[in-house]
Amino acid sequence: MRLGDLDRAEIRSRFSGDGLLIQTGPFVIRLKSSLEDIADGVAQLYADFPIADQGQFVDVTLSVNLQRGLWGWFFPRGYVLPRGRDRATSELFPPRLGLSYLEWGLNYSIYAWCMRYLVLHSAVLEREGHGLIILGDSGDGKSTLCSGLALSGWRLLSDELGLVDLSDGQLSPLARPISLKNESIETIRNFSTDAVLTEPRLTRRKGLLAHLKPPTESVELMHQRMTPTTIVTVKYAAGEPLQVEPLDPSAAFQSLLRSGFNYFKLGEAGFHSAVRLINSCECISIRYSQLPEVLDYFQERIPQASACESGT
Amino acid sequence: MWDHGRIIVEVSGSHRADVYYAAVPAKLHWAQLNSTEATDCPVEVVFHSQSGQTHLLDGPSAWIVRRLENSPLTRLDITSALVHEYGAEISTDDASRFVEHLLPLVLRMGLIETVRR
Repeated sequence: MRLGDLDRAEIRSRFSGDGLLIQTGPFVIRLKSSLEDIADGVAQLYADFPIADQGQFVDVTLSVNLQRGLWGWFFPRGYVLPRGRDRATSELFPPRLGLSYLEWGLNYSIYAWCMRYLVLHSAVLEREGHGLIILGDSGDGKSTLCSGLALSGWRLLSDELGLVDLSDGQLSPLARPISLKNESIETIRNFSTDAVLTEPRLTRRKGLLAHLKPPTESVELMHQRMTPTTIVTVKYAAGEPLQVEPLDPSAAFQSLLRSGFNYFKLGEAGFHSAVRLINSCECISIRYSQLPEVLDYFQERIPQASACESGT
Repeated sequence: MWDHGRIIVEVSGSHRADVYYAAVPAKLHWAQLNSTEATDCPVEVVFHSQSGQTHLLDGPSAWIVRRLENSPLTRLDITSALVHEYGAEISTDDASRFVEHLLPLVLRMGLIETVRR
């Protein structure tokens, strides 16, 4: 059963009760919240995700709650409680930002606790056997490019967390929603009529924030792992033409380590995993300002896929 | 010629009497990154398990640390070994300067240790 098969009342009931169990890639997550706004957002973004049985082992439990007491009654604030955090150290946020904090909490829960994987701050996509790992800091255009590719037929594995299996170097999908900020929200809205976006919310740290629903096909293939073939460091450079250059492996290695959320926790296993990844991939750097331009570049890299498309 | 650009540490005192040796070999894990057309010199990466740090080293620097894994050497011994290994590419003076700059750097990284003889 998928989440979209449940009506809103049932979703809200599970959310405020024992929790809603969703399968996302290799993880079963339990979401609990008393905020109705979050339940509606999750119902929209995770509609295609399978619901896990109550008896299943839960990898991640996350609750998003409202602050209690008189102060909370006058000034309602939410807080998110992933494993390892307590109420006293939780950041408070306006309830309307609950969905964004839930996504952050899920990311944190995965990269802080899942040691089977080298977790990279990266977007990961696949098409015709070509596996892309896109590295970039916040604001570098990583999620915009990821959204454009996902809406152009590439399979989305992840927008935020690339999961490199330590045992064999394969990438495991999560296929969770894509987080978009500021101008990129309008860029993606204008790019495709297929884009299903949440209402943008203004945040103090990152400006406007909205989430893009992952394509249904990507969610359906969430258990199909992928072999990485290309590592891309991306940089949005306003007004500049597209620049694609080979990236020195040592520079790519440094970018990879900077992107490794749990690299230092993994020790030797993380080191060997990172080396294997660099040595098995072509590394390139991309600077772009126009989304269609960079999408054309990737389309040309996959001639078979383009030929298939034009034939249908 | 080698790129000495990364090695900027000034050596304040003489190390002639010091013997250098690699951190316990079990603490160092080595790997080589594939070279490309753009990179004429292979890059070695080493993970130091005691500190949890990862370091990138050019070929000759990695060669020296690996050499010290085999046996302790003085600075002069290291220079001689380097000239022997890379003789066609580097003069003795250049090798000496290279070693003089490199040793404090890799000492600070914790990849090697030293003891006064």
